[in-house]
Amino acid sequence: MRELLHRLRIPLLFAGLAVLASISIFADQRALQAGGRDLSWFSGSLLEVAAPVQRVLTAPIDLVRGTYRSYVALLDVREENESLRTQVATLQEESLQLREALVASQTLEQVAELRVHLDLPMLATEVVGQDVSPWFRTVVLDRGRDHGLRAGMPIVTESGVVGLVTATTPHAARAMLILDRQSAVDGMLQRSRARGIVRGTGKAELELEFTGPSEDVQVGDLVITSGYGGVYPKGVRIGEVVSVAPEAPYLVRRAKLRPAANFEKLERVFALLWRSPTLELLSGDETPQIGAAPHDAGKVTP
Amino acid sequence: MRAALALIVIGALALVVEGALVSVLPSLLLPDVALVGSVAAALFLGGAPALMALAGLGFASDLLSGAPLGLHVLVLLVPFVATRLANGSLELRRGMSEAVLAALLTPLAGVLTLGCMRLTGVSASFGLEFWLGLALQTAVNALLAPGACALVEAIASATGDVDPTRRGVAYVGSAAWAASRR
Repeated sequence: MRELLHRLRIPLLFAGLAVLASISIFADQRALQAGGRDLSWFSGSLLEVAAPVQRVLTAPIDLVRGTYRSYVALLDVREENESLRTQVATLQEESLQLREALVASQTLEQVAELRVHLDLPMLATEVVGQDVSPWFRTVVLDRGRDHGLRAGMPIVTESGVVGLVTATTPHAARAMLILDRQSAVDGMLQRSRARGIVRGTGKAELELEFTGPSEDVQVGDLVITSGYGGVYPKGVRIGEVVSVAPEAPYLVRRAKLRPAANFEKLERVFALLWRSPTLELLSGDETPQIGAAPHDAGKVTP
Repeated sequence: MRAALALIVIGALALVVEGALVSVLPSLLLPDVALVGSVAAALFLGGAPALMALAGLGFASDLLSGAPLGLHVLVLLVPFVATRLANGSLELRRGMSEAVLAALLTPLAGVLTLGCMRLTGVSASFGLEFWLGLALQTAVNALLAPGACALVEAIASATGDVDPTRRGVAYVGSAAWAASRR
């Protein structure tokens, strides 16, 4: 018997692994449908290690990229006019600083508007890593459970919806972007109030699914969250309609959206320290409510 | 088992570094560490340590990529079996063979990944963009495979965890081949 078990240990191990993986996928999908979950210390340890390491690795990359861009810009100025190089460089530097100040002021203004509009506690967090697989669109954030983040909390920027937290550890979190194929957001057209489901395509664009010819959807329409999906609060920008599929004898029609948030330059994002009552009911754990958030509540934490 | 643990730690570190590199390089230009690592493990480690390495790399890949936990493990089991079966009758432990093997298994793993995603209700299509991306990643994995295999072989030799069931495959026409024919 022992010899038989020894002989069959590889097939048994293989089958065990296949069953374990299948159960794990099923459980993970269930958890995702319920708004995500807090990772155990064992599963979360890799994410805990990854966040600071990726932050350290990203810093020199950004430095080299910034230096290279500055160098290229300087070369252009030289070619343009050698005699005025110094003056132009000085003026450009001044101009750059002014523009940066203007952008920073506009960004702060937008953040303030968002705060007033949503009336929810927010937590500023940095994107320190991205997904390593081309099939998924997720990011790693440098704040976790100890800062008040919980699975199911929405992530936004001053421009619009980014995604939602799907897994947390004490000091890091993973968020699924709305571009991910698994993402679906209940959206609404700001102009006509027509409703539809905004799905991720895995690429840089989104897809709006709406019902038949009765709904009024036009190019240029702004799509916002409807608040009915049970994840995102109402009225946050999702994107803008860039094309609408021609009418066809189907119940469901589709339109392509340009996301409101700039996913190419996703650096600082804001986690809304809030979960909808639906998610609260599904998760059943203790999480911050509106007006009862943890230590960061009521202010945008830098 | 020490070789499997070493491979898991190195693979997880490589995945973390890849996560940082994605900000400057397209993800399709980065190798599929879990696939290449598990194929190398199937070639050079015993069955149990290789499966352990596969599980570790697969789960690490899932945790860092946002895939449903277990998806990569399930998908990697197929290339693992294919590698073990082929390795029983073909001499695959050479640079070119390893590159060709990785090139054959990458599309298989890609199709299985997308297939599993569709089974879990995710809308994903086998369009032209998918195949072009897969072709790019196939080339990257094939380039990296011989290096990864050399690393795993070195780890296996250093820890003494070499595959005990592995038979040397005699080249056609060699003395060993002639002896086996008699």
